[in-house]
Amino acid sequence: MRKRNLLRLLTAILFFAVITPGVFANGQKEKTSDSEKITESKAISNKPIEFTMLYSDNASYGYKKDWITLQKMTELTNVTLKIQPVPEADYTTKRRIVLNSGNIPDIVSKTLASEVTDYAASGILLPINKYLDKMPNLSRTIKEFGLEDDLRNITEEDGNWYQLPVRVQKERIQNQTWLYRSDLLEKHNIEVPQTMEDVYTAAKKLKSIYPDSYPITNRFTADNVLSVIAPSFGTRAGWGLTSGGYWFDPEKKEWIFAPTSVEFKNLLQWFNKMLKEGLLDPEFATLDSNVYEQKIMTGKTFFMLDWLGNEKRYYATARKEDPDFTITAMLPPKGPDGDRGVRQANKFAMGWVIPARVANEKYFDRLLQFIDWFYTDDAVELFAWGVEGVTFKTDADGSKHYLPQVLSGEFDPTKETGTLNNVFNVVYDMDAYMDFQSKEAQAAFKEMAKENVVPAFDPKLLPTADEREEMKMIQSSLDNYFKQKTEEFIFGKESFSNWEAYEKECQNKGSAKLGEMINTIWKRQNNK
Amino acid sequence: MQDSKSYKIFKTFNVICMACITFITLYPFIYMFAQSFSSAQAVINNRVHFLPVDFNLSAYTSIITESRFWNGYRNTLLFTTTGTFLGLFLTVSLAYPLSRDDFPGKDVILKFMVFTMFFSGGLIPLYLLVSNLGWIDTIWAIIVPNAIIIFNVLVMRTFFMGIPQALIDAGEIDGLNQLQILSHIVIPLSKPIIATIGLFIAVQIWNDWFSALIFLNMDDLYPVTLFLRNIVMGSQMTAASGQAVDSSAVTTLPQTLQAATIMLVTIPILAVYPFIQKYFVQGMMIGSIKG
Repeated sequence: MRKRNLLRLLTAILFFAVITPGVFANGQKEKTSDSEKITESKAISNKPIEFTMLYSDNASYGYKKDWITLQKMTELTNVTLKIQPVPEADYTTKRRIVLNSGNIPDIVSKTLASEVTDYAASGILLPINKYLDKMPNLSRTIKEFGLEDDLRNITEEDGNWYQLPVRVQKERIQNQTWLYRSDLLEKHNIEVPQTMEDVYTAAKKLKSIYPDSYPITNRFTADNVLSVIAPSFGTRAGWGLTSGGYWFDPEKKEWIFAPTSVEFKNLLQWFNKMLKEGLLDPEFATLDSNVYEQKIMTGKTFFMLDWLGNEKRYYATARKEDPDFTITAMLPPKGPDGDRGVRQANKFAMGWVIPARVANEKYFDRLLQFIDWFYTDDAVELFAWGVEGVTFKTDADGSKHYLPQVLSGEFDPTKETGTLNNVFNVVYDMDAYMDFQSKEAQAAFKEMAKENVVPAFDPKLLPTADEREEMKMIQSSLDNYFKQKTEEFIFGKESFSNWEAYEKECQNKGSAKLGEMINTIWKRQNNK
Repeated sequence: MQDSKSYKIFKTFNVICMACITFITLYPFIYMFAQSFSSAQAVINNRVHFLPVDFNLSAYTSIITESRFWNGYRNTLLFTTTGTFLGLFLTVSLAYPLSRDDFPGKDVILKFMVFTMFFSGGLIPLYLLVSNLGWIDTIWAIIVPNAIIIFNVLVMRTFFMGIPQALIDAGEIDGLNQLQILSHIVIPLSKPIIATIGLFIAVQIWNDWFSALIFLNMDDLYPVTLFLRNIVMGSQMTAASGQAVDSSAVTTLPQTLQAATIMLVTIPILAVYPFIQKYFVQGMMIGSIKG
C-alpha cells in the first residue's frame, strides 16, 4: 500500500513539473524585467542598462563575470553586458543556430563579414555604414586609421557593410611571422638569414650539429606554412589563396592564377629541397599543435612561423631544462626576386555583427552609443592596457608601460583582468603591443612598417548569387586538385618534370573559365 | 574433469586475447591518470607512460579552485538525476502498454516511433520548438528532448513481453487494475532492465554537452562537460581556419590540466558501473516462476 502511494505521488510530481516549465525556469523571467528597465531609462549614463552579447570563450582565458575591466566598463558607461559565453570550438555551431533562429543577442562577437555573407543578404544583420552618423568615434577611427580600403573589402553586393571593425590597428602589421632560436644561432655563429637561400644554409648547419632535429616545422596543416612563405617567392599559397587559386596582384592590377605560375613552382621546389635534405619536418603537414609545441620546447626545431607572443609561453617550460632558450622574431627573408614577402594582413582582424532587429528596439540609440564607446580612448586604455596599478603604470613622460609581473608572464592580464581580450579589445594600441615585444621584435616590426611590406587582402569580388554558385562549383574541384598536387610535389611523389601535365589538368578543372569569370566580375564592379 | 589439450590451448589464447583488449581499453585511462599527476615538463618531454613522473597536484588544484567547474558539476548532477528519473518514468510508461497484446493501435504507435529513429526535423526546428516552449535556459531543454530514446523503449518492451502472461492474468483475477499490475508485478520483475536502461540514460545525460551548447545561454547553467570540452577542444579548432589573429588564439592549455579535468569528469559516472553491473548478468526471471 505504501509503495502505491509513493508511485502516485511521484507520478503527480513529474506530471506537474512537465506541464509547468516555470518551476525550474531560470533566466526567462529576469529577461522581461530587464527589457522594461531598458525602456524606462533615457540615456546611456542615467540608469543602468543591460545589453546581451554572444561571446566566444577561449579556455586559456576563461570568461569571468568579475573581471575588473568589465566592472570598470560598467562604472564608465553604466552598461552591464549580459554575456552568453560559448566554448570557442563550438562557437560557429552556436552562432549558426542563433542567427537562424532569429533569437539573436544585441551583439554577436568574433564574427567576420566573410562568415555571414549569406545572412547579410537575407537582411537579418544591421548595415553598420548607415548608422555612422550616430557613431562619431567609430567614424573618427575609420578616418584616422585609414580603414577605407579594408572596409571596401567587407562591403557586400548591396553596397553596405555589416561587420564592425574589431581589433583595429593603425599600421598594417602581420604578427604571424618568422621566429628563430636566437640563442642557438648565436652559439654556433650562424648569421640571421636574410634570404631564403640563407634559411637553407642555416638549417643545413643546424642539422649537421643536431642530426636528430628538423630545423623547420609547422602546425595547422601545410596551408599555414605555405601561406607565410609564398609571399617571399612573389606568389600566394595555402590560406593566402581563397578564390580558387586566384589572387590579385596590386602591381599588375590583375587576377593571377597562382598554382601554375613560375613563382609557385619555385616555392614548391624550395620546399621539396628542404624536405629531401631533412631540413623540413616530414610531418609538417599533419602535426598536432601539442606535438609541435613539444618539438619547439625540447629543441628539436629552430625556425617557426608562429604568432609572436607564443615564445613567452614556451619559455616557462623550456627554460627549466635549458636556461638560455630564447626565441626572437626576424624579418621575413627575401625571396629570389629580392623582395621580402609577408602574409597579407587586414587593418582589423576581427569583427562584431549586430542583428537588424535592434533598430526597432527602444534602446537602439543607446546600444549604438555603447558600441561607439569602444572606439573611445577610455575603452582603448581599458581593454589594451587594463587598469592603472593592476596591470600598467604611467611614467612621468606620460607613456604607459605594463607592470613587471605582467611583462614577465607571472601575472596573465588577459586571464585575470580581461584586458587584451580578443573580443573586447576593439581598438588595438600599437604602443601596448610593442611594450610586450623584445627589442629585436620591435626593430623587426619597425623595419616592416618602414618598408611597407605587409600587403592588404585581395579586394573582394562581388559576384551575383548565380555566379557565386558556379564559381563555388569550379573552385571546390580545382582547390582539391591543386592542393593535393602541391603536397605531392613537395613530398616528391610527383616529379617536377610532369609540371606541364599538371598545368593542363588545372585547365581541365576550369582554371581558365574561373579566371574569365573573375575578370568579368572585376571589370563590372569597377565600372559601377 | 580434465580439460582436453586443444581446449587448454583455446583457453590460453582466449585469456591472452582478452588481456590485450582489456589493456587497449584501459590504457588511455592509465595514461590520462598518469599525465594528470605529472609535471608539465615531464609530459612535454614524453616521459610519462604508465606512472606519474614528478608527482604533483598542481593540475588538480588549479581546477578545483575554478568556480565554474564546481558550478558545472552541480548542474550535471542535477541534470543527470532529474533526467534519469524522468527518462525512466516515461520509458516504462510507454514500453508497458506497447508490450500488451490487448492494447489497440499498438502497431501504429510502434511504426510512428520507429520512424523517428531514422528521420528528424533537424537542429534548427528543434531549437525553435524548444525556444517556443519557453525552455531556453531551463533544465527542461536538456532533459525532456532526450527523455525518451526509442531504442531504450524497444529494449524495455521486449523485456516486458517476456514476462509470462500467466502472472499478469493471475494479478487480474486477484482484482488488480492496470496500474497495480505495472507497479506490483511488472516493475518488481524488471529491476535488471530498469537498472540497465537507467544507466544508459544517466550516462547519456552525463556525457551530453551538445544540448547544453545549443539550448543554454547562461553559463551558470552549463554542465561540467561543456567546461571540459572548452578545455580540451579550446585551441584545437581556432587556428584551423587560418583566422587566428594572435598568439592568444592559438594557445594550448597544458596537457596535465586537460588530463586532470578528464579524470574528474569521467570517474564519477564510471563509478556507477560496478553497482549496476550485477543486473547486466542477472537472469531476468529469477524468483518469479520456478520449475
